[in-house]
Amino acid sequence: MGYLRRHPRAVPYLLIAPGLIWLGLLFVVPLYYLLSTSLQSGDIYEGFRQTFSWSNYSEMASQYRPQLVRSIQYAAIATLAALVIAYPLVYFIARRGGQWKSLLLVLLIAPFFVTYLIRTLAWQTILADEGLIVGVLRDVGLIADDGRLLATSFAVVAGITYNYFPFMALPIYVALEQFDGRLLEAAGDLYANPLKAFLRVTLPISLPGVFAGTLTTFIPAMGDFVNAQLLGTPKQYMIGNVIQSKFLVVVDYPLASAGAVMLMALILVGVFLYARALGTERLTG
Amino acid sequence: MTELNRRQLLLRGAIGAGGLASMSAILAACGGGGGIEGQTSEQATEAAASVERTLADKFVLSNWPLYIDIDEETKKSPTLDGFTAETGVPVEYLEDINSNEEFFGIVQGPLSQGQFVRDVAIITGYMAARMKDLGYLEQFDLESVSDLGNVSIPAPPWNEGFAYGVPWQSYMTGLSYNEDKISSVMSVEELLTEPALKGKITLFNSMGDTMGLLMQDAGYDTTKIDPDQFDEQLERLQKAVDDGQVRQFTGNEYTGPLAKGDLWACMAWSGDIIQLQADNDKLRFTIPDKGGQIGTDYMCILKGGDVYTSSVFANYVLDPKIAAQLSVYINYVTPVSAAKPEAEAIDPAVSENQLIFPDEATLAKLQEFDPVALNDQTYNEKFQAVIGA
Amino acid sequence: MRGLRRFLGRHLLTAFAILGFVYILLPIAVIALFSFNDPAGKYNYNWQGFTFQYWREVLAIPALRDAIIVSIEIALLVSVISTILGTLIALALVRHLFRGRSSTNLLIFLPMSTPEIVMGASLLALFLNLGVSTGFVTILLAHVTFCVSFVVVTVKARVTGFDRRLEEAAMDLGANVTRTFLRVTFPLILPGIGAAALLSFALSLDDFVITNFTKGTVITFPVYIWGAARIGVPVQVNVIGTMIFLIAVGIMAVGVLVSVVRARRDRAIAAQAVEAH
Repeated sequence: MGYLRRHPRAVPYLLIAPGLIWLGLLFVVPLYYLLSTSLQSGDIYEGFRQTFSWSNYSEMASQYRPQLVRSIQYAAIATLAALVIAYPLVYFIARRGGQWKSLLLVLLIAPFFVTYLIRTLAWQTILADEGLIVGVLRDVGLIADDGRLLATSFAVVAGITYNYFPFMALPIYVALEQFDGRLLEAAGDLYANPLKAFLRVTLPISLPGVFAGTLTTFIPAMGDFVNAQLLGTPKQYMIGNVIQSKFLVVVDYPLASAGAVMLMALILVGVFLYARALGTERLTG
Repeated sequence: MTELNRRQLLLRGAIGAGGLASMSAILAACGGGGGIEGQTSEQATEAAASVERTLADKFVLSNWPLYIDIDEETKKSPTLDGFTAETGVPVEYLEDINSNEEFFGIVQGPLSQGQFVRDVAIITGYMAARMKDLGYLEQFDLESVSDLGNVSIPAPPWNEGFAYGVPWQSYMTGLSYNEDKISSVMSVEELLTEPALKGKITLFNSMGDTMGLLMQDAGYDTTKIDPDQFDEQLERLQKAVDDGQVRQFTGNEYTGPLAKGDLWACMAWSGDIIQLQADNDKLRFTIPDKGGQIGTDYMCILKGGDVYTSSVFANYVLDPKIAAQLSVYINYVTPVSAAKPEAEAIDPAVSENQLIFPDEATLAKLQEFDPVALNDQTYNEKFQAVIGA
Repeated sequence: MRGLRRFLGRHLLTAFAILGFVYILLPIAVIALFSFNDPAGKYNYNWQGFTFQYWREVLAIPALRDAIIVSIEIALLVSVISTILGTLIALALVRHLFRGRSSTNLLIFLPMSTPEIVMGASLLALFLNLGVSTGFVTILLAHVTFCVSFVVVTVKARVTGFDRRLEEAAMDLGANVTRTFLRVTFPLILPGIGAAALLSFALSLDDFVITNFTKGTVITFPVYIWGAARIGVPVQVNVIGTMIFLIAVGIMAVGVLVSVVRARRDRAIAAQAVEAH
């Protein structure tokens, strides 16, 4: 304690040291090894040796381009869908929730504490060929008699949208919640037109939340493989499926690592642009 | 066959859990910056030269789901209980194998580092051959497996005298269809092209099963793979995938959608369908006229497993009485033909079943896929690319 | 005209919100419903009849029970370790200005913006290259790594909103640094720490992807489900899913109540402290 009194500047460094050392050893260093592994070559019989070969990247980019492109597409559609569903919903809670606000928020979040895999399996039941939803859609002619929802792109995107929903909803809610309701009333008087009031006042205020939400939804969605595996077919496989299969089943560590590095690189570029636009403080705040 | 207790089937569906044994793993940074260590064949040859013939305190067995007998009342396996009663060795039984490849992926790391994983795992022949080459298997103490004489199938080249793998069960790969949905599916061609089946079929994600049936359908020999014939049939498979005919490539997981009616037809393993008929009596299993595949799953001692206890266990299940008890319940093909009269005593219907005790005519339609091709990286990569893994 | 539009706008939004909640809660309803199913075969897909049996026999499957125990053990340890590490960082970030603050912020943010599969793959790459056997301990290490950032963010939100003058007042009254921290600071940020601990517990319990890379041969609850999904998930899994939902609702509801009460009390303490000062 005496030391701390004499060196108050040391305090923050002592506070962050354990955590940062942990993250350094188990987050930063592993990324280095991932990069290093991606440049190795060999096979499981001979072992993998460092050869600084970039061929894993070219193989990934050429052979698995469809999965890479699909990951971006699915993640983008799912992010958009989540935004469209989440915005009005959290707007409702924030603005019209009244005394029920906290309870509604609990109902919004609680489902996502239920184990991810159980939720996804529930969608398997909901979307099944012989299930209720497909039956209704068939009856009203929205899908053909031999049509299906399960094992299609729709099912995969729907699963992703659902599973990452809170990542979209919460930041928007926080942004909306921060602003004073009277502001909107004043805007309502000023603009007369509710749509105009929304566009000129509410939307700009919620925009940081929307930005944060889209990013925190898009990133995990890009790397997802569980939804494609449980709700899709090989035609819906994403880059995550390739990485996990190459790593854990085929045991081609260098190729798998190259895939993971490429995925991470794409995301880092996105985060970098985002950080530039908003400043790092906002990101953890 | 015996009336299965349905809820029990559910319980048996559980996958075993790992113990807390791996607590010992500690982040010990020990050099090795040059890459990820592989295994050398020299390590493979240092086999169990002399065996200490004392039983271990515990026997850890990894198996596939629904691949052992379960008593309806006690909900325990009579075979495993019998083994414990006879030897005093308790069995930790884990149903944690869902596919050979995935299991390999899981144990490969620990085994390459010399970690104990399981005493015995039940894996398919080609994978056993691969793991033997990598030095991941111990040799059985063959003197302690005196009942090997009961085995009625020949030992494959990689497994002279069944030293590295003692047969557990054989399985047939054929076709299954749901009679409620389609009148019949008798050939692979029909499966891959019948318009009514579009998006209603699954094939296997294991190369030997899927490519084996396709190549047999084209009249090719699958015991020795010709690269051109393989490529030709792979193209045919690609077309079926592109057309949207194939819904999914699966391991065990085809059984749910098939029983449920989401699948109308699929490639299937014989024993699965016999068991599924308990849930859905409209399911049929057929070996295509052009032929089906047969494969054998072996009990293998994983590196670090207790050789003597494992050998005693292998010997125990080769006893015709025990073999009969197993096959009456799990409905696959027993490697112990002497089990047939024993099985007849338990359940005559089972001993009559061609899928459990196949006769010469049935056996003549079956081929075993070239194990060399199964471990060939080029073939595997091509196949993996088509199935999208 | 304006009134009509308002009316429409209001009810359209309400209708949409109801649909939104149906969407969010539908899978939970399905999970809960099928936890009471009495399937004839081994597939819990079609409704066959009502039973409480699986709620009574929730731990009857040894493999499932073992997996749950492993998961809970890991989640408890993860929760303790990551809460300590993360709380310290959060205190430093909010209470101190120091060089490297924005780099620290970035290092906290990056794990949260890394897809799980990349984090899992990189950890496995580390373990493979160093020859570390994967298992219980590596799962623990991995889980703490992704939980720390969430703890920082959660605790930070609470620390930011608290009145520095309270501590100053305590110090002026003669309390030393330790005493001030234990008597004033800690109780005030405790709800934030509690929330962070619960969150890391939940995150650890739920994780499949990173665990799948670092598990070796250990089977956690999600890993069990992943395996069982191939041949039909037992009804007990639905029971546990439903329980998790109910527990989450319960804890959060209590949290809401407590925060209302506390907010009132905090204001009272603050008023007193400032007055005394």
